[in-house]
Amino acid sequence: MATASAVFPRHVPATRARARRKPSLRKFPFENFILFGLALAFYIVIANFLVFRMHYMIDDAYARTDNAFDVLYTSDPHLGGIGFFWPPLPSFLQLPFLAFNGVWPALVGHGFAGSIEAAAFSAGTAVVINSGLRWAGVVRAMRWVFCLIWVVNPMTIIYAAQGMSEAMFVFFFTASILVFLRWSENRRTSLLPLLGVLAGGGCLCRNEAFAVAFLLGVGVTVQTVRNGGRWREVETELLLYALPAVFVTMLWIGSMAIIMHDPIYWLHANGIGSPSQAAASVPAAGPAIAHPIAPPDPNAGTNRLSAYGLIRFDTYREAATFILGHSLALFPAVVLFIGLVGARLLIKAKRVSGIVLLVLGASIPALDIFIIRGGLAPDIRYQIAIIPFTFLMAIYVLRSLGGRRGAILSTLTALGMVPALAVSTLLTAQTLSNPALAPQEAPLYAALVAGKNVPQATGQRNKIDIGAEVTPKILALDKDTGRILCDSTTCFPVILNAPNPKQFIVTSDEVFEGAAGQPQVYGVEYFLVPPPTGQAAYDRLNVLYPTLWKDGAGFSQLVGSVTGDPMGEWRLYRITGPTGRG
Amino acid sequence: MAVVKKEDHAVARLGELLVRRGAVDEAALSQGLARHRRDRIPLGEALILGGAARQDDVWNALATQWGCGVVDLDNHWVDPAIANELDAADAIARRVLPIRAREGVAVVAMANPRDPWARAYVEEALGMRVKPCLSTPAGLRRRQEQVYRQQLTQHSIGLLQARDPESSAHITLSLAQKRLLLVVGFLCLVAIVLAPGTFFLSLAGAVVTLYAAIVMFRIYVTVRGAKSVDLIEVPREDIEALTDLPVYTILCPLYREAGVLPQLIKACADLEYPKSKLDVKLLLEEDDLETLDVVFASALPPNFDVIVVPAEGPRTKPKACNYGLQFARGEYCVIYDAEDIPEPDQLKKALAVFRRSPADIGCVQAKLNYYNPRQNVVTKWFSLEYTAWFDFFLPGLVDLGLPVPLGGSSNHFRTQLLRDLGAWDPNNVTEDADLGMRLHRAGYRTALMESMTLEEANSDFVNWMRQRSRWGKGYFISWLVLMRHPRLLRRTVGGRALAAIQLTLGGTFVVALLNLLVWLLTLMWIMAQFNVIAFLFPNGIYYVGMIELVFGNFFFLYMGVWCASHRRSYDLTHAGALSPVYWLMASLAMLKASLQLVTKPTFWEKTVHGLYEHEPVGPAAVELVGAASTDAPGGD
Repeated sequence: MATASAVFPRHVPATRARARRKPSLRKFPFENFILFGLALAFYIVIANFLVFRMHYMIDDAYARTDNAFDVLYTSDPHLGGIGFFWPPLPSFLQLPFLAFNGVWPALVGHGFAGSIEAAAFSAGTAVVINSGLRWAGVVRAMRWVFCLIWVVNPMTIIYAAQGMSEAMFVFFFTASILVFLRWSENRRTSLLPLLGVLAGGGCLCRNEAFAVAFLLGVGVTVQTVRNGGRWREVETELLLYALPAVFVTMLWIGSMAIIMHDPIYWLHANGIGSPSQAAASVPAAGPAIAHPIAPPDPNAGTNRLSAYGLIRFDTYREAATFILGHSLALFPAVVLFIGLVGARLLIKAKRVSGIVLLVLGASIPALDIFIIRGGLAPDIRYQIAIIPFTFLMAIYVLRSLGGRRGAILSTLTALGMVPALAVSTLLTAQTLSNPALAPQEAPLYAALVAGKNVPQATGQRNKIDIGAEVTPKILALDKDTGRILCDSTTCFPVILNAPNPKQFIVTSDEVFEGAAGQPQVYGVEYFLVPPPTGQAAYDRLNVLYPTLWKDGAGFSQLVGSVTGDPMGEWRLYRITGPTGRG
Repeated sequence: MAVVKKEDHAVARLGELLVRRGAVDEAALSQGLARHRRDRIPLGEALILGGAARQDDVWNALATQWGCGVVDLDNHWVDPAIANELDAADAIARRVLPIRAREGVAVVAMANPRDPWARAYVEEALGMRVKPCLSTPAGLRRRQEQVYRQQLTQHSIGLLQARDPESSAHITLSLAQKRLLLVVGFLCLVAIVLAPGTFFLSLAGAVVTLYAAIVMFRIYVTVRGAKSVDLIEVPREDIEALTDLPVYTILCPLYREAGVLPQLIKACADLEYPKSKLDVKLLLEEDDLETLDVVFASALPPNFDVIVVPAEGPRTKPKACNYGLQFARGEYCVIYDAEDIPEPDQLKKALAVFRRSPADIGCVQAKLNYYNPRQNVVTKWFSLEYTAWFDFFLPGLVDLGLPVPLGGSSNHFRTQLLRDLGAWDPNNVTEDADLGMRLHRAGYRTALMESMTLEEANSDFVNWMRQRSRWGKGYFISWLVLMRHPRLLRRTVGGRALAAIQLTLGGTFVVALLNLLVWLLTLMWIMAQFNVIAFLFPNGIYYVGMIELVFGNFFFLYMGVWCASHRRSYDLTHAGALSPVYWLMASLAMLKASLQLVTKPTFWEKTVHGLYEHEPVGPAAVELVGAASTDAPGGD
């Protein structure tokens, strides 16, 4: 029998157990802060140079600043003033900057708020690319080489300095696809809301993003089904992804329905197949494209460019040739990387995410091919996504080579990719110097070569300069500082440069339509109207009163006119009688 | 006193004695010896806990071994005066009970007369020489419960109040708070008379600002928590590496819950922890005859200890827990509600976390969820809400280093620390949240571990209202208690934590209450567009309010889908879409809570359990659920 004794519990030194925290994906590496800071500083310096020294600013960027300005500073400050001509996010995010307009008027006067915003998003894209490469297992030095190539790409630089939607769209495009690739691999639930937010963000800054968002949803569905998910799971995962995007889109559409009385106003206003713009585009056979900064040729009957600055093709084949030509000219390495992805798809699994990636990349050119049949401005910037798409393909290939476990292999492969990306970047520069391919960007190149600023080099001034010049003259005509009504889609350079913007009633004001019909009721004394040619033919006053610019339409008296080329002769009319639209 | 036989005395080996007397057989003894070596517990206890021997037989054998007799305390007079010279909790922990004293000698009943520490303690406390006599632990405990009843009750009711009255909710409002309330009320009246427009406009601005702060805080914390980086995971191999398990006390308060007793026994039996080291305390209320009958009629495992809590003072769960804590033998302790089904390895996980973590970890909280999410729409909503709370919001608070309102069960403590902190506030109806705040104030952190306890979701609307209104009331009372000295609190916990306390405790209650008013105003505006509403919401206030309305509501609705996906409970997704109905229910509960706050602030509205008629499944098997809004304090 075993022996026993009554020993009561006693303390025994512990064998310490290990407990560990979940591996963290949260840590935002310090290098990302450094990268963001450096890229942002670089882009701000470049923006400063382009905007203030080169006087290079695409007019649409200026108009976006005006939309934000209308929210805060017009006679009727309200959020609806953000405007619905374009997706609203680029303007919306400028609002915090515009609050400092009093401190630094150039934020509005030169649209520099938009430049800062674009610089931040471009720097953010660099961080996204760095994160993707880190995920792919590429060593830091090689990551920074990739990021450098990205940051110095001329197309990236130009649109990091312009308050357009490009930088923002590229950020959302790149980040959403990268998150999709990560989700496809690890299926972390928390990535789907992030994916949805990014896709929704893209939809709020560019129309093409709707296609991307839709295809991402298809990708989520396919991945879930392939993973054995049943209908309820597919439904939940799809909702988790899609709700943020649908929510913000519905919010935007709802706002348009309430404010503009047209839920798809931006489609009608901005020209994706809109009747007005389709009508304004002119089909033709010739390949020549006029300089869009120059005034559109109203008699352009022999080329594809309309008086409205749009282009239209008769067949999809022609449209495809045009769009793909732009894409390849912008970043030729895309072909090589499509080949690499294709090769990986043939060799290894993870096919679904690779196929979805290729489809996503193809979606934007495909959409543009579809749209351009109806009429589209022939701007190469519409194909800017081809550059981050190439980087995303590189990340996909590198990740599929082993990720963190195959750091050497992925880094060596990355090394092999560098020449292709670098050479493509040089070719981007060459393409942007070609006015036939890059009509909006080539003047900058020409100006740099000539050692002048853009207006001097091209003889064409941008609306910033024009606004600064004509506004004092127009206001000088308004001797009693009476209220002026004008359509801000055309007169925004005047409003932005006016010392007292509350003097104007603009399109986004709730009373605009009423005041345009019964100016006396709303205390409006003047109508400011541009000549009814080109885009200004769609100025609201010109639409309501087709003979207003010419003869005052019988209810007003010409006070004076101010000419500011290329915007033509602006006329200020004093209201003298009923308009007949009561 | 038992007669000691000479031949037994000569053998003096417990196992042989017991076998010779027929108290155990050889096989059982072998098993007992194995357990004795494995768990490093006395052989006698190993045999008792293994069900191989009765306590009386073992202690009789020990008496023989030690050459003394066993005192039958049930039939022995005890001098309460001398007994109460000892601290009840200490006497219970050391298993001693002074019986009488005479001429500098105290006769003391002891479960182990050879325990020098216990003997030294009594001698020092009484200032007398000790004459020990042997008593069975069970007999000793029963008698201690009787003799120390008054002291134990006083202690469980008044410990916190005595140690730190400013942290106790024995009064709802301090004098200073009452004065402040009067002054603010008076100023509001004056403002309403003199400048009603400005007053109501300011009020609207304040409400919108409060909403904005709470919505942003909730979203931020939830998104931080979504990454779950601060959920401590304990791998299986780490659990298996634990070799020196201390005694672990489980406190199980039961009140009118006889029906769930079998489930509780099973859940405790399923715990992967040596039974010899598991000290389960069933805390029953003296007047709950139904449960008492069932419990005493049941064949409870040997490591279950039934403690009857006197029906005196506040009739709350924290008072019962405080009472039971004084009997706790464990180095660590945890609370489980009667219907809880913890993951079997939860105690070991908690232990591993405590051992791994720095000493400032005061509590390890396991995640809570429900085993009956699909019972009806209320349980679906509740399950989604709990997922949002325990899987997103609390991890976010931990991640940010903010005070964590503890869940009502499955919170693990170092027993001594809990005692040092004054244990639970018996006057607070959300004692769990209050304790979380006091832990933070005392400089301790709460860790969240990746382990699940399943509870029964409230499936009955009225029952749910009772529970939710109690939570709301308790949260607000906890906030009032903390805000007695806001400047001191800020100095103690810092500005961030102070802000978090406003938004988590006070804000949750106030916003849920205000929801009713805001929804009413929105409805009135949609239907009739009253001018007064337009006046209250000029552009600035309107935009902020609109953003809150649209984005806040969307976010909390979206959380329902997120939680359903997070827990892979895809069939709850649709319920998440109907969450606004649940929010309305929560607001009505807060309305009820606000009334009770005035009429009966410490009244504990009992949540009825056992409404789920099917066999619940444990965390390992259940397909867990997930959440909607995030205002669940948690626990019962």
